[in-house]
Amino acid sequence: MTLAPSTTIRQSERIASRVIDGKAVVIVLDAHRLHTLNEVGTRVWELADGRSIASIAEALAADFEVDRDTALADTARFVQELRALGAIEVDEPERAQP
Amino acid sequence: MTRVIGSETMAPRGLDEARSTPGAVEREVAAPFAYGGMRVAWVEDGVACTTVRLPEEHALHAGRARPAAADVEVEVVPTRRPPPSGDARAMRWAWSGSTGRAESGWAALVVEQIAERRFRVQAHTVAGAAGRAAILSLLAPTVVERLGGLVLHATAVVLGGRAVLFIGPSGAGKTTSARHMGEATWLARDRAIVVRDELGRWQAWGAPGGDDVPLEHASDVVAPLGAVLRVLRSEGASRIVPLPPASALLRLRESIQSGATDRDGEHGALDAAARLLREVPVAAVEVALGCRLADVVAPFVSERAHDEPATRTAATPVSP
Repeated sequence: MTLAPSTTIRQSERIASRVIDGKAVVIVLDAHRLHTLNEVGTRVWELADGRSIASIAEALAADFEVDRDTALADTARFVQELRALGAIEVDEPERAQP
Repeated sequence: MTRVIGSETMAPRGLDEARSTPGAVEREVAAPFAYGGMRVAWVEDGVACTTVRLPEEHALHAGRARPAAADVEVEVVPTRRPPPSGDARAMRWAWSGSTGRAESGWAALVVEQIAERRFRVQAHTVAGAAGRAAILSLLAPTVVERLGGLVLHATAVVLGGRAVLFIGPSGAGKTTSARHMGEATWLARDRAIVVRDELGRWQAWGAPGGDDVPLEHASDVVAPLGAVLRVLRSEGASRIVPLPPASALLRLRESIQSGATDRDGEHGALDAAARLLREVPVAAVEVALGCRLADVVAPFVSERAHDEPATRTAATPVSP
């Protein structure tokens, strides 16, 4: 299921990370897993401080010169990956009832 | 309970009795960080003993440029708990401010960091060699971490007076790499400690522990750190392969044996690894079986070496 653009994300309390040479190294403490993020992923990671996916995508569109729709789709997909890794906490807005 | 005030000397036979009164220096105890890395004073059953076991020629070197990483004062309070079994490293430290605690069925340890490089330890555990070995194996990572250093799962050799560490998961070829290092001598067969000394240089020495390295077989040698190399098997020629910084940090972190499980501890380990990465060459090495790996590694280390004098020690050759 695609995350709504208004979904906010925040780095998990159970991770440790450092950015070195423009790339983030992320440790998920409970899973004992290590991950490195590429340049774009690192930018998303740095912005994961309670902002919305839409807000982060907007920043990516400006930083990396991609159109906003592409940035939004890529950000939402990447956020799902980070969520599956246990690296972020996601706060989804309540969906409207049909 | 008797206390030792101050730690031991670099010359055990010349130990000033006044420094260890009222206990007597009755024996030497091999310790994982007794040789210039960290100086340990030990009190057991009210009797003080020193832990220094330093080759004479290294003592001469150390007198001029001594790592002097830390002073650790250990007081053992014997208990009737059962002797340690299993891996002491499985015990986890919890630090609150300057006090760290670890507890299990066989021991309870409290460490107080009383100065930047000075620690006081009270250990409630079984007396004797088993308790001593377990305490020291357990203490090393947490004290090293508090000093901003690292305990690495690594084999290590001394080549040209400098430590070369081989890291990688079990089966990667760390021991094989060390055995391909020609004239180099062993420094660590399973665990290596690296600490930045008071002069800002990284020093390495072997720690006991792991599958087959009992305390008494830990290396006496301490050497300036020349390089950390992640081992990769190769079908072609042996060669050094540069690692991008993030990848190098990841490889280092994979090899860190951290005593911490919390976020602060992980950040501390990452910070130490990142600092090491800035100050010491970290790369990958592709190792072809049967090669003279020293011919590949030596130029890499010497080209990047700082201008401090290399340590000269007599140690065990790596060749079988």
